[in-house]
Amino acid sequence: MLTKLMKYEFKATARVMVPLCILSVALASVTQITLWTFLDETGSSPYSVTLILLIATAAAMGAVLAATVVLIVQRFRSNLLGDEGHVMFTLPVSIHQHILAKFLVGVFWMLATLFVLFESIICLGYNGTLWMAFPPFREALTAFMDFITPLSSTAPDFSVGGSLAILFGTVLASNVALCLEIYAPLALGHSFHKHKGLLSVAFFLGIQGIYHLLSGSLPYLINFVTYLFPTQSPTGVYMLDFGGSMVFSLLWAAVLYAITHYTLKHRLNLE
Amino acid sequence: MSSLLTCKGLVKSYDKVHALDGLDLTIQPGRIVGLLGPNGSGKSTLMKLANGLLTPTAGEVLIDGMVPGQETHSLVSYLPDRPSLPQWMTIRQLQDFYADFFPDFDRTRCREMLDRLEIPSHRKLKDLSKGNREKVQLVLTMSRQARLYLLDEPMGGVDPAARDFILETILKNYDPEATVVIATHLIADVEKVLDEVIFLDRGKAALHTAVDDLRAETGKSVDALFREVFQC
Repeated sequence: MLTKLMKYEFKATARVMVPLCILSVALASVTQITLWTFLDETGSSPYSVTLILLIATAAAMGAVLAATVVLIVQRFRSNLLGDEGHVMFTLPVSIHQHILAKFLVGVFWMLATLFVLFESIICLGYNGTLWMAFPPFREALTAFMDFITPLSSTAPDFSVGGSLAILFGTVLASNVALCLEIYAPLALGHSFHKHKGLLSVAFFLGIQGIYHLLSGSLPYLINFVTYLFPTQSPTGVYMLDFGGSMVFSLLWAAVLYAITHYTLKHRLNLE
Repeated sequence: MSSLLTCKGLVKSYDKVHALDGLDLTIQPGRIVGLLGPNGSGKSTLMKLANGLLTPTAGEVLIDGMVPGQETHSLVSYLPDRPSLPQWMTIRQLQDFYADFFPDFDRTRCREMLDRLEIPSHRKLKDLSKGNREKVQLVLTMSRQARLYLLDEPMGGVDPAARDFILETILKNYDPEATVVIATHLIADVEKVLDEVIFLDRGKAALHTAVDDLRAETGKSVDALFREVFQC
């Protein structure tokens, strides 16, 4: 049943996300060609066209990002907690399956959005030198390379691929937690009789407060673990830093999942 | 014969208002039951509790002896009192949706009813009129071969001609082993098909009797008696 739920969830979201993703990459590609011809010696692309395309590309990239967040909120709110919930919650499927279907598809679109944004930026800087000319891109790239290079050079057990894998794992874990940081407050807020939207926002802020409190104490916890089990190996230090962050995100996600499941199972309130 | 729908001391409160106030009820299989009451009497609340869309404040509601949940959802075919189908889907996609989740969904029966209503399968639900959307929802609900049909205001927003079609649809697709519970306040329209009536008044069952007995005892129609009992 989970695969069936996911099939319809993909259909519902893809009709918005796929055109936006295609538009973003296509606009970035066209802009890249225009930029290229604008910046070369002949200057064959007019300035205004190049500027409009650049703005359009940035808007499309922003739209992909916004649509992802809006869809994650909206699909959970309207499909489960709104009128459509009267059909969804009378399907012979478990609450776990309902949450997982929304959650897995939500995380998929989060990762797809990151990929599309990355791809669009790559498209814009086709020959490398082009986006090195723009300070924000140059700074972002330098920061990224600064992160990857010492990791692979000082910790010989890590290849660049390994470093990227760790980075991907950390991003994935934080995306998993982020998705549930949206679901849990929505479920809690909608379990009340009145002011459901307002209460959802209040629960979201409350959950964010707790998260920042806990994540703020994470470095102290890691330092404490390092104190108890001293390690000189850079590999060990990196493993502790990234592993600790990943485990924290996953534990946080598990708590939020439990809250969401309990609320939908025992406090469902489709008045 | 074991009951299909049982309520034991069922209470549902919103803030300090009791929508259902200690309701005790037993509905046997093979009956068409009218759940009748004025606005705010608790009809929709009972339907939602029986589907697990609300949680009781006290007491319990059981479907075939089970608390509403994943297992009972395959026994119950529910028509909500509001449009609840995804509007972006076409009628064909909605049929696929029901067929995917409900093994008892009869696609042939569904297609026949939709053809009769002249609702084309390629149209999106959002492109249909309000009345036709309600009909699609009813057709999908009645195309299942469920043991219990819970229909909440099935004729709420449709014209009188369509009401006849809806009643005909309910009767035509009704399996003698199944139970149909129709919550409505349009009593005159449904009276002719009912076996039993339950008058719900401020969250309690004021009356639960067979329609034939009621007519014999009072000499009145259900509609006339309803007007008398719930006179403002």
